[in-house]
Amino acid sequence: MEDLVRIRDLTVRFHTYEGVVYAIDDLDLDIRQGETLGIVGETGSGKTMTALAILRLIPYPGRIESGSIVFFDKGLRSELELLKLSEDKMRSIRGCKISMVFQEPGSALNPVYTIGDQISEVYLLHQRQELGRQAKRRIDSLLGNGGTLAASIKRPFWRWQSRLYNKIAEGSNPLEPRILSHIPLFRRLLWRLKDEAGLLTVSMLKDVEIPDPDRVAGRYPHELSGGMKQRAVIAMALACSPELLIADEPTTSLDVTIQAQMLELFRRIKADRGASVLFITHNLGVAAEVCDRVAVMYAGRLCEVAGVEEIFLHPMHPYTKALLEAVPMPGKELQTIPGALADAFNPPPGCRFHPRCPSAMPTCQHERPKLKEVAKDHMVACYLY
Amino acid sequence: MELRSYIIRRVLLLIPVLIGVTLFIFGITMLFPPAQRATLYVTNMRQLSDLPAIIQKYGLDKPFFVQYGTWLNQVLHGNLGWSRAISMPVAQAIPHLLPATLELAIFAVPLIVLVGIFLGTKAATHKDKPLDHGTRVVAILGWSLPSFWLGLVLMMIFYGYFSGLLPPGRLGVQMDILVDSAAFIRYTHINTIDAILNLNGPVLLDALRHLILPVMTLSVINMAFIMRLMRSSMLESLGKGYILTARAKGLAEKVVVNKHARRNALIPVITVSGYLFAGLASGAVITETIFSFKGIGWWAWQAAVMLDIPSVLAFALFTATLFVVINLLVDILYTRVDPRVRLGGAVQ
Amino acid sequence: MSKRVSKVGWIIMAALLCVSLAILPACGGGGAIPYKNPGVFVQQTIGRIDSLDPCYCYDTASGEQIYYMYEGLLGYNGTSTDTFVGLMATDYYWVNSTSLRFNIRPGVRFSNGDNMTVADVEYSFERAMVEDPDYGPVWMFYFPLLDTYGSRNSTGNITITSAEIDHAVEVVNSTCIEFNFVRPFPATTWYQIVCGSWGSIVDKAYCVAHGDWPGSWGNWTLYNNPAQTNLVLQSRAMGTGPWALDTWTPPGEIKLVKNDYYWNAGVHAVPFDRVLTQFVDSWPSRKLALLAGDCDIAYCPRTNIADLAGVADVNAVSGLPELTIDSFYFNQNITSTTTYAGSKTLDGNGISLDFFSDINVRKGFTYAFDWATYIAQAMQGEATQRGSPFVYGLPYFNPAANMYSKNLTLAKYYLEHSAWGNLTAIGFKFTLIYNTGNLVRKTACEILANNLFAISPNFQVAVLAKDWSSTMSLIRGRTWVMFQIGWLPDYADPDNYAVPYMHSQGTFSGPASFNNATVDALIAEGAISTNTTRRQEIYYALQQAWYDQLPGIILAQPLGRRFFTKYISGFEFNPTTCGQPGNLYYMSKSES
Repeated sequence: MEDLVRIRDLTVRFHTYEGVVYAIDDLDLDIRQGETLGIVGETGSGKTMTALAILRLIPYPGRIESGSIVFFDKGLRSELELLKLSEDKMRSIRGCKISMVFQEPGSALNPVYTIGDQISEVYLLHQRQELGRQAKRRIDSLLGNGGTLAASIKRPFWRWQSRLYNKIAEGSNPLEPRILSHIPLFRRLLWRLKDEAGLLTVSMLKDVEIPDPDRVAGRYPHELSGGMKQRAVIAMALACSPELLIADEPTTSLDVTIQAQMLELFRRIKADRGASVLFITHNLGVAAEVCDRVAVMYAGRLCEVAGVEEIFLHPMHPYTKALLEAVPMPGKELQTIPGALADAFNPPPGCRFHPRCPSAMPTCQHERPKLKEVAKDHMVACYLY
Repeated sequence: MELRSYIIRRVLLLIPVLIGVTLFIFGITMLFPPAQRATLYVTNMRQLSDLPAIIQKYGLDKPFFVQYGTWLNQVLHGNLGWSRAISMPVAQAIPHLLPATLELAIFAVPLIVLVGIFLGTKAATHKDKPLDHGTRVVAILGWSLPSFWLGLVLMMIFYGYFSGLLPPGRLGVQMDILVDSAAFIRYTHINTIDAILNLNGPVLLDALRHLILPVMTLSVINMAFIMRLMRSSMLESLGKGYILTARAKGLAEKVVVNKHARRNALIPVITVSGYLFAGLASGAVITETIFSFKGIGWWAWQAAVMLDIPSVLAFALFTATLFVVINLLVDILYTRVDPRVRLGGAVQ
Repeated sequence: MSKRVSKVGWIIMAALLCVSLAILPACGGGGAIPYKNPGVFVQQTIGRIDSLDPCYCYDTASGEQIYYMYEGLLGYNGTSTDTFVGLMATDYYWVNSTSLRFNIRPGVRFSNGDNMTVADVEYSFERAMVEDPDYGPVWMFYFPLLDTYGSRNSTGNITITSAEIDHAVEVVNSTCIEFNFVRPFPATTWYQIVCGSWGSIVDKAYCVAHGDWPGSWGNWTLYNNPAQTNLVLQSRAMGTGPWALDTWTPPGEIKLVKNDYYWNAGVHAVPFDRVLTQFVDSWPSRKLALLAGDCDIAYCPRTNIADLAGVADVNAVSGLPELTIDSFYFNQNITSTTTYAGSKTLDGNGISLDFFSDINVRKGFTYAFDWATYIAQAMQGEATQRGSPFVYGLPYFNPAANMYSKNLTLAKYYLEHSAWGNLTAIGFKFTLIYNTGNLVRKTACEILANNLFAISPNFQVAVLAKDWSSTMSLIRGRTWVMFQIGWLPDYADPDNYAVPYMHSQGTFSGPASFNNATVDALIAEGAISTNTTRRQEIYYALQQAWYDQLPGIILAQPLGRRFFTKYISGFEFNPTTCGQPGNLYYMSKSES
């Protein structure tokens, strides 16, 4: 199986007034084609930062200090070093080849624009040529039929429109529509693009099982329930059929019943589209349900990566074990992990988990354990192995 | 709620507001002894001995509610009284003075708001960078400069140092004579607008020349607030989840800022801009006085100094009405900017 | 990187701008005053116009404009206050001791082209007496003509008849009008009265057409005491003066335009096509306008005259004795509600309410005042000390009148020998009040307070500012201890000073409870005496009475200034035009 994303030696730091935060430290991680990789860890372990690093959206004052993220672009059949791409190029990947679903559907949607507007935006941005083609086709069909007086009067306008949309369809940023789109009133002449995007939006909303998608497209976020909003967000992320969908705790803020529906939706999407999914969660149960492989992170570092069954049946890293112990189950006394999460400004040397680790050894205090493959497809970073 | 019923409700609400405001102001003026209020009617030292007769004639020593009732009765009969501050009936004074004030406001407010929004946005997107610090310096200057000082300094530079370049007043002598001649039709008494309607270039240029300094003074002083408000509102907006969503969509930073962040950040700025307009349309005393741009503000100040009670009360009526109307417009504008807002209700 | 540098540069620019803003005001405008607006006289001054109706107007700013637009029967002769030239009258003569006739100038036209006739003259005076607005100037006609101070009694009922008014001003024939006085009246005084803005001749046809009193006696009382709203000439004007009203846009300015029909234009052309008076509150603004050539004369407050000292192209005319004088009044019977007399008893923490009724106290206070310092500091050296309210420029002014001067030894002596005992031992405490913003009066208060304190630390006088409306009502309420006030005359006759300053019912002496039967008798006699020798005796006696009785401390007669650009010539000073540019008709504006 080929890797879709290969992350090597990724280091992300935040330079704040209080000091430097070591958000991600020398991270190596692969996402394979068509798999769902779960990243599990406590809050602040660097899960979300890993996802944002892939999109190069680390917020100020954070910075990717070093490392490489290679993305295999199926369309171009070539490998792209994301960290070296120009900002323009990177923008064409965001939302198109790699998209992301955020934790809070409530805040992920802009309250002042309709659902339809916000999803159409993605199409208008990434699929302008395709929309132009569609629009031209529609105008051409108008040109073809009708000999009425009204139609013959409008024909020269349609011809001009057809040429205009053809230019858009041919791509490479033609001058005429570019000028038009900058002039407030003339911008409206490009309404057909919006129309076409609107049609795609509605079908996308239908795809994520939103009832009555026509009406929902015209609604504002506050008029929808949390589950609906999350479906809309997912629809937005899936609009351009991305090769990698990053889902950052997409179910955390939802009711349990809605959570189940949502997980079902993710499974289906994956099956339908063959996209890879990077599924970030702190909930091991959720990870077990949707993931093929699971990566466990602690304090900005990877502890263990393995297939989902392997990790639940044979956890190796003491942190993974502790996490599994901490999952509440009926008839079992709840275990907590002793100690507190490592201080982000001043992380412990050596293995970052060693102050909380029951089987810590003297080496753990100053030597950083490397990630080793100890069984097939099972990597762990611990001196125990 | 339906727009029309909302407007009707708010306009009806205006009645108790106006009564309350005038009662309050009337009450304050009653704190002055009758003899002091009677001096309003004195133009010559010799009339000093007539003070008791004046008190008698105008009933200045009657009980509070009798005097207020007399005034209210007159107002209900359409008589707002005589404004000694400007020597004309109060009812004529407001339309007579409003054009000057409005002229300042219609130039200053868009300038303040647009530049304030622009600079505030820039400061937010360049947070903690030199541009941000620069706008902060400008804001602090604008915030702390007394407007009479700024006005005088501007006038000394642009009228004194560059002799006669940007004069005070509303028009130069020649243009002033021209606009009052039969060849020039006064549609609005707002010089710039009338000049455009009369297709008179020289008058327009002269009017603009006289507007620059007062508008600049008003702008520098008032822009600071809009700018800082916009900055903080923009920063808050930029930290929201939907901004990350917009970036993750692949939108250019310009679109993220101008479309997604700014529209949300505008909401508090709209309220303040509304009050700013209401404030300026009810007069900018110091600017009007320094630049001899005498309008409502000058009148209100003069009336207060002279204890010209009919004028002060009329000014209160005018201002209260203006604020209520502007408030109404702001509310309606809100619903256009933020779909979550419903007329007469809070954010859902 | 370059972008960042430019931003830093921008901040430096901003900082530089701020620094330059702080420095620049120091550099005034240099250079010559440009010559602007030929044919237009532009005045920038303070204040406001109250009314353009001659029978209502009683303030100087309005009166000045009325002078430009109207003319009366007579005008002051150049700089004189007691010789006259005929304006609407060609000559005048007494038929007997109570009847005065004026021959009306033929060929005079109002600015709308109407002919000025004897009917207009009769109408003008009768209209004033018919309307007689409250607190207006028309008492000046009523007193000599009908021996009353107005058409109404204190309850507002009309007390005169139409026949009385009709008889007072009679048309003799088509060229002659006659005034009938109730008893012989000093001629000069009457000529001065008709020189006032209230003596303006109005256009009868124009007034009637605009709804004014029709000139008939059927229901004349309806026109009595009109509200300002109903004054026909409140914001209109139709006179025979050199200029006519173009537009009056309160509060900013009034524009006058040349009267094409001016009667004397053939002899002496009207010098300005337009006369603009702009009311500009801020002195820096007026000053810069003068220096920019945007106005031809700017009113300069006394405290700011140094701003224009030695400025090229500014023609500063100084040393103009104004017919006004400030004085301290002693309140001899303070109202018990006062809050300015300390404990209200003479116990070292206050003064008794009749404290100033003792002449020695008044003398002590007077000797404690320092005129030299007052004139140097408060009046910028431009004033002359006077011994009584009868100032230089008035008829019967006594140049050799007695005057007090600062003498702290004498002051101490009189205060130690007061009717209330030795005041240096008892001590006193009270508050002096001046109207806010009047730095001249503030200085006067401080001089007095400091000198009293220098005599004895037990003499404690506080100085407090109060706004104008409160000072006025406090004077009336007699709650002041000492008040400082000035007087602008209605006409340049000593009677117009004697009554307010010294009569027991006077505007100032009344509230101060100054009461002297001999003085009252002298004033009453002087007011109506037609014998100039006798009048001189009376007013010399009154000047001595002031010195003896000391109703108050007379300060100094100010010497006025006018600041014109060098392009204005022909200014001639008449003391009655206090604070005004003067008689514009004889002035001119030219570049050379």
